[in-house]
Amino acid sequence: MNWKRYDSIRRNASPLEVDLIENYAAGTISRRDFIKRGAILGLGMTTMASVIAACGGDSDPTTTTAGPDAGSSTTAGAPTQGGSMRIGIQQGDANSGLDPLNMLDLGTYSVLSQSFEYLVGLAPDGNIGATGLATSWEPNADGTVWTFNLREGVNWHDGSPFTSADVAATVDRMVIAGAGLAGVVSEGAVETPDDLTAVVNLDKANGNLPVLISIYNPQSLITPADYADGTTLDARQAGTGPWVFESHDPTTFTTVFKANEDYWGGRPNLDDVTLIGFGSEGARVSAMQARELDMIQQFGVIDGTSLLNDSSFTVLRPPSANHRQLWFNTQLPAGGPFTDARVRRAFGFMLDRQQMVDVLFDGFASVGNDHPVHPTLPFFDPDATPQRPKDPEMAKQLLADAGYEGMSATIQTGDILVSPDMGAIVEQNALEAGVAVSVNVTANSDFYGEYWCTGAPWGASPETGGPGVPCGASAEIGIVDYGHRPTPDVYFGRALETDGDWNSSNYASSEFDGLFAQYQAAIDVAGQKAAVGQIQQLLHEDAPALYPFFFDYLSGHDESVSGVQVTALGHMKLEKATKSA
Amino acid sequence: MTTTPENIETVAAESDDRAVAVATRKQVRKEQRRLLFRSPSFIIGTIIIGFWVLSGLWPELLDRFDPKASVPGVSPRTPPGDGTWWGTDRLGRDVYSRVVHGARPILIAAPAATVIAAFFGTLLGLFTGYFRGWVDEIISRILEAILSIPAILLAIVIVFTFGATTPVIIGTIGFLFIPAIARTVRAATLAEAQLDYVTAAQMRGERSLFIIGREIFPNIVGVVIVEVTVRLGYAIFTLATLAFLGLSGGNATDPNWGLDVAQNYQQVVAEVWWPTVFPALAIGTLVIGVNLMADSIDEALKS
Repeated sequence: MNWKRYDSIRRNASPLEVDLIENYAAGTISRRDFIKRGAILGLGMTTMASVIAACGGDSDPTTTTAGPDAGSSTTAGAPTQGGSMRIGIQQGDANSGLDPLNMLDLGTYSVLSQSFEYLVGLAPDGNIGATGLATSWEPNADGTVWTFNLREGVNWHDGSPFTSADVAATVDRMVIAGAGLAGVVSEGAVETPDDLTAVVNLDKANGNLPVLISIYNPQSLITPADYADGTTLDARQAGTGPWVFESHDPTTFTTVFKANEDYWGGRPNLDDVTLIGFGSEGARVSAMQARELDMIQQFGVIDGTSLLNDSSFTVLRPPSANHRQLWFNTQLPAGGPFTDARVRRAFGFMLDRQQMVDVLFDGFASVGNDHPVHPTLPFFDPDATPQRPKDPEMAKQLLADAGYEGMSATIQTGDILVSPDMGAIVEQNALEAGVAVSVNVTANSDFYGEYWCTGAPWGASPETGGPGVPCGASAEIGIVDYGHRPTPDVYFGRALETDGDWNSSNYASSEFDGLFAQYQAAIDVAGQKAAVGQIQQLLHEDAPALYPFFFDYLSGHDESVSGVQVTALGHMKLEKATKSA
Repeated sequence: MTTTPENIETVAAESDDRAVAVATRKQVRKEQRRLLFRSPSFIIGTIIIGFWVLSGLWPELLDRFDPKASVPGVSPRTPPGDGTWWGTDRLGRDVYSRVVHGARPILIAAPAATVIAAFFGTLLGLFTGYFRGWVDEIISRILEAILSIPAILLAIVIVFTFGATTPVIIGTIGFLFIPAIARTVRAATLAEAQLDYVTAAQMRGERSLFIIGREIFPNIVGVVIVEVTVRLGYAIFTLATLAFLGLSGGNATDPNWGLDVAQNYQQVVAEVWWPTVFPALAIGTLVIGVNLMADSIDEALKS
């Protein structure tokens, strides 16, 4: 330990940074977590490297697992100039069109993030990083004000300069549209002391603000100050990004981009890229297999077996917290089996999580432990709860204690990839504990409206619900899908907090609400970890829903392509991409 | 009428005629049966249907594994081979056992729906064909209106509205097939009603119900049988189509041919064809078997 160096770094750091550095020095967080958390707080790479060096390098076993990042492909040798790429993407939603603020699907995310950029970008390790329009950021002492320093010399595609006014206007539009900033900031929250500084005043302390205006909140793309809500890219060409919009065909959802000659990060290697929409995954995979495409945005393990076995195809696996939730209605019907936590835990002991990982994902997934906190998050507490095993005898015992031996239940689920099959495995597993489960699969439109949550607006009480019963009509037991989020705020706040609009469990626990508030207000890792650890324990014990696995997001390209980076939210960063002839 | 020597002969002649008529009818039926049982298409149809009926009644006799559980020691999507005859599906379940067990639901629902359609269709056809007039006009126009809408479209609307449960699906298909049967029976009844024996019965002062039930119906039974067999084939196909579209009653993990095709067909591009092709072949063979039978019955009756 180099104390002199350590002290000099501490002296120049803000209170939050000091806290993080001390945590790392004391060994309460790992090196990986230190870097991740440091990135959120806006610590520079050099500062973090100095801290690590001052603390005597690494004695942390987790660093050995940090191999080359699987979410990007590296460029080998000298990059080739020129060329074009054809990429198969998910067909975008025709209703929202190319609207950066109101888009909802991975296909549209990938299109709009070619022209527009985020304030907080994507680091090479898949974490957030200063690769976007902000070069650095820092919170005040209590995390209620965050200051972002913007990149110099960035111009919009029409030549006008990018300024802090654009950031302020975008954040205001996001607040009005509710795009992930509801309850965090209010309209007019961004001050612009000069053209290259944006100061965000929060409603209450939040330690994760940079994540909320980063690439991991896809609707936070920075648009020009006068880019009104509802404007689409094909109606008004704009952006600061590496690719300039050329044309868009809404029927085939095909978009063509040309290289931005004046891009602040240097002109992209390729001359142009074409993103082509595919309605079905099977067709997309076939086109990739036939090499009608150079790259495929996303594919599933089962439909994409041929790609996984293709030796000239490079698979990209960005970090992903994608999961399925097996929820129980913890309140209704009153006196029903699932209002008893022992019955819910019993189901937890029935599940063969490894079977799900192997059969549903061919191993491209990891076992979960009945809470939505992904193990790679800095504040995940590995010691909070032991992994729940498959134990049919324990399940039988719990059911007997609760008086529900040999019960039966019908799982409701939508016709979404994996969900019906997961139901089939739950049925097989439950049979071993003497529980007869059947699976009812309905069309997605019916499923979300009838069996999950009734789709009432945020905060409103559906007719069958009431205070604390936001999804009164939700099925007793069901399976619903959740996409990747870099922090579990959405999983906690919308799916589990009392009155959350996606709370199909009708979970109303003041203890959970308190811990969630504590987690959100915590601006240091130790505080977040303390709250999250207790949340993990509480959810494991109360089991309002089960989380048997997290599955990988799979993307990839032909071996002739390199230098691409992807996220589990559909983004494809192509500015460094090259294609050999 | 008193029996006088003069009319003894006539009575005897009448009874002779009747005896001859009965004998001829018997002979005709016997001949028709003989033709039917010798018809190759009838034999093939019976063998196919026999196999599926056996599967439906005692699937345990034919299956090799639990159709709902993953086969132990065999990985998912294993191609057909020694371990599993027709391979395993994406969850590692035995495709052959699933196809065998899948016969029961369709062999309960399709005949049930056809019986409903046949009962109401025949009744409506007989009444409209016999009474004609405004009753015929109103009922026939309604039936034609139903016929003008594509059956599968109407089925989706009805099943969606009332919920995809087995009774609803059976009722819907039964309802949709009523007009087709009613029209065929009506046409046959119209022709029959012109014949002398009907006029004779009317002259005798028989009640209409009696004439329809005891005079006309026995003479159009053949038409009804053929029509019902044809409809059975359509019912199987409609059921499978609805299941393919996700509208099947009961547990989604139960073996069901149409549903199994729907859940697996996207993997055909990945060269995993067996979980799709075998249930599809099962639907195909059952429909073909029923149609072969319908054709041969029709031919035998016309001879």
